[in-house]
Amino acid sequence: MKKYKADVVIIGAGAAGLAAAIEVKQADLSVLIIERDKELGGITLQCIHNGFGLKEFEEELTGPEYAQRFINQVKDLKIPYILDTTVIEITKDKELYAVNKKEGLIEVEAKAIILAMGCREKTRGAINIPGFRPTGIYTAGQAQRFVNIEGYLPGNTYVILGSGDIGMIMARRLTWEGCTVKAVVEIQPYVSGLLRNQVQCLEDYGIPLITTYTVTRIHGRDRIKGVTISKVGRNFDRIIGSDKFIECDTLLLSVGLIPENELTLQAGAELSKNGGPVVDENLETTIEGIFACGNVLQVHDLVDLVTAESKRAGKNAIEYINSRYGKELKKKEIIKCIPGENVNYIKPNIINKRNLSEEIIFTFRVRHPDRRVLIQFKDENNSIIHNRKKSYVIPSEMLELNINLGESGINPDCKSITIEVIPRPEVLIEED
Amino acid sequence: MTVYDIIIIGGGVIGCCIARTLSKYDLKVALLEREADIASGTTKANSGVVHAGYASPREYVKRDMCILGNKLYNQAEEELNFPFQRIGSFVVALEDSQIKKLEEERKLGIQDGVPGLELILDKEKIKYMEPNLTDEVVGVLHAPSAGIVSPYEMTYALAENAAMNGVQFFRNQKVRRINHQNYTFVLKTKTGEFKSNNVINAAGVYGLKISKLVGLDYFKLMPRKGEYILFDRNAMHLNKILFPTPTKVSKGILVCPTVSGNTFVGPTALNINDRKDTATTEAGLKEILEGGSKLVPNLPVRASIRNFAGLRAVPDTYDFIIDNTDVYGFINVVGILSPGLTSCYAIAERVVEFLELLGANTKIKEDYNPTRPKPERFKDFTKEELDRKIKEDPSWGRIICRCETIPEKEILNAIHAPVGATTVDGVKFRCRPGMGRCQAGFCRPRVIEILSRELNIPYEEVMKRGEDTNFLVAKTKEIALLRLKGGVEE
Amino acid sequence: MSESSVSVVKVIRCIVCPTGCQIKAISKGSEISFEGYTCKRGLEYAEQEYYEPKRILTTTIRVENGFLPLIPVRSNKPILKDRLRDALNEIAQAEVKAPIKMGAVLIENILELDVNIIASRDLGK
Repeated sequence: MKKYKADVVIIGAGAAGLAAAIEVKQADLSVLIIERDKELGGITLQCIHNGFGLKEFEEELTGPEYAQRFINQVKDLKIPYILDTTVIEITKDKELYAVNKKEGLIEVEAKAIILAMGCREKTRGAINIPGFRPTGIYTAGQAQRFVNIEGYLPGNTYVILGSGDIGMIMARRLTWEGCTVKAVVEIQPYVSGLLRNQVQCLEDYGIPLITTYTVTRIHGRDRIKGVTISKVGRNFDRIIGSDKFIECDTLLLSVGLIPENELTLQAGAELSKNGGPVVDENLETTIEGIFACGNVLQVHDLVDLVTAESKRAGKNAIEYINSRYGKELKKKEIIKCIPGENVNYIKPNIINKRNLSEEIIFTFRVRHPDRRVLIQFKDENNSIIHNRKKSYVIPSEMLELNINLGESGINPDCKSITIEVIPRPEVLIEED
Repeated sequence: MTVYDIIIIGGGVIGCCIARTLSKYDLKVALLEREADIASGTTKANSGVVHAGYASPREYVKRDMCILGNKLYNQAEEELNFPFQRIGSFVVALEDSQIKKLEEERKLGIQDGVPGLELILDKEKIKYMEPNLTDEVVGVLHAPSAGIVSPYEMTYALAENAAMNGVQFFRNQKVRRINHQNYTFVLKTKTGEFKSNNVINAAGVYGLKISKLVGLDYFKLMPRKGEYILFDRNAMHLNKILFPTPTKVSKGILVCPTVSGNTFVGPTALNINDRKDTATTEAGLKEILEGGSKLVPNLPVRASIRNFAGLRAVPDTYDFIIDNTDVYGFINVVGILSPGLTSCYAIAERVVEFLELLGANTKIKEDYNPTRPKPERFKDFTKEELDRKIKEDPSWGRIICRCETIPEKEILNAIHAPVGATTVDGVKFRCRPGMGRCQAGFCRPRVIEILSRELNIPYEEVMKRGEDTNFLVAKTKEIALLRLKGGVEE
Repeated sequence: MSESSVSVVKVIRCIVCPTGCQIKAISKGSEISFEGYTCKRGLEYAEQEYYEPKRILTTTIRVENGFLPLIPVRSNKPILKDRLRDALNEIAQAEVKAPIKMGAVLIENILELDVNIIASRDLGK
């Protein structure tokens, strides 16, 4: 059995894993990256469109270019990594086992683990579309992998369900490869992704965006022949008589992403409702010394924010090793963070009371779009701790707020805070 | 041309079970399957329940076959090493008026040899045995001899053992004509011709079609669709198979665990005309969730990972049709509706009796080996074993399916086994890549790559389950280049 | 004073910021004016979109004996929107050899537009 030892082991060499690894190495701790694919880079390698790096590098890069920057740094810093290697077990005591062809079973001893495995796509079964089970049904990311990395086209004529950025990007990508995209169908009354993509991926090519519709049936037994789409009402129930048939030989699903969580569960870390692990303000899970960052923690829209979050995770892992590792600490006093009105989820899920005098980065998403809102932090007695105005909010854009709760006057006996996004009470003078 | 002693038409669980049973004897046996793989029809899409046997009416042949077949599962599992768990079932009464029916079934069941049947009215005890059951339960009929099996894994095991013992399997062979001359049958398919002294018709929903090829149409078969929803393994764990109190038409909508730890709800029971209609429907899925919720109030709908449907071939007699027919040497084994899966070993024994009457030589082969070794699974190894296995064969160390932890080696074994996988579904049903939470999101390109390499075919020709089910249509750039050549404008 | 014909020639949705102003290009006789923008960047965007819409092209090129069969590429500058299809057709016919370094010019001065197609990543053999 091959044994590796490192201060910090990082699972996943995508944007999250690479940024965290660089942070740890620069603090002179030993680090090991474990990646299951055959090269470093993660999902950004297949996102060949541009729009990455505006925040991190103040340049507009393609996904592979963004990844290459970090890959180059990893190589320059001589950070050890193993490829084609899958982690098969993590125990509560941070024992980690992995396998690959060359070395067999690998045991890794580490003081801290950073989970950076990314996320996966929701599938047809997850949304229960009835019909046969023909070939020609893919998730958008799956199709993207085939077209951009494996070098194959899944079909000739497409319907795309879901107007998230991945779906719209693929609409353009497939059009650019000579295929025909008949429509992008979206169940909400509004586009899910960025306006820029709606214009440059759909409108530029005359691809219709059909909102308040969803796919209600799949036709074709061996290969998909087409889909029936139907209008939906307020409760997303099908409106009788609204059925339309669209002929196609491929259906792409862009219906949501969920964090990968097999290893998180295995390690015994508590999962939160958004699918990622429960974490505190240090991005530490409920297992001491196991941290999480990137899409495995919460699904991000901007890879730049993944990088920022992962650098933080790296820093916190370093701090953990230097100060808390191996020490018996008395029970933590925590404050729970609860998603309130129009908030889908919030990270961190818990805050350590001893860090109330520090600035905490909150990230969250709303359930539905709204304009001229007030983001409000309240304690369990409804006292307002902090609020901030925002001119618009949409579910497809993750929100980030840096707040020092101590300075905001939080009651130290407070047990929970609720974050809500509510319409602003009428104001005479418009701000923002 | 070889003249077989017996040709079996149909590679479902019934056909393969008959094949394996016959492989014991010094007979030349072949099996013809119309699809690209065995276990493609009803066998692959049913509840996987090994019934205790109290449920069928007493005048039906299927009742006794079920009770006997249930007992034979123990020996079969030992010899063939397929996943089978005798977890027991509850028939759930939600009203006092249903208790009487359950008590009647219990009494008659005990008389007919169903072991351990008991009526439990102690609600606390019931909920202790199955915590997910609704609080509305007033009593259950507990059948400890009921169990769950993977019907397709068992079918692969049967076929592998049959093949090991000399049975020849031919897939992609749809029988179109049968000529009968001088006591020899000549079976014609699109690409082949097969001769045999005896024919066993185990063709599932196509049973009547095949029977008509020799002029026999003394029965009717109606396709009846059953839809299912499958849930994520982590969402719910059931201890018992849960049945509602049955109606005249069907056993009702079950909530049932699988041998892989998932839970499913289903099936519906809809008579249809089209023997190929295995589409799920909005109405069907709704019916499943409503029916299932009566037994288990918080079904993890948000943790659905798949829905699918299968067809049963329901005979107009509502009982198995196992006949030594008027056409000498032609045996019908059709209309094998529920409890067919449970009865398969008993059905195979009955077929052997018929063949003896027809003069077949039932001398047991000297080199007959009833054992089909348990397939090696990554998940079963200890850490030391795993390390050793990978060093012996590195393809144990390349994980292809992350959700189910399936290494390349298991896929290679599935492809190279006797009657092995030649399609993506063949790989999926033999060793599970694509059955997990991400439904092949990540492993699909890898499985296609491996099939392409092992079968020496281009990626574009790798099929899901046979003709016209390829995944990829062209290499990237090819469509654009074709359009350029053809001068097609947007 | 003579009446010139006034009509909305095009509606442009601004993508510079999430507000997404709908900017109208209005022709008055032979002149074009813009209405509906709320900031200078919006006006600049609308003018560019109206007179000379351009897009950055990102796609792949086939690779001979590379670690992967395709390498992702981008145009180093935006390309005129109505030449995109021609550029893609040219790229579809190309093939390059590994190893390649990120930034390498794989097609120089494509369609004589003074735009290069460059590699988006390193790719080994």
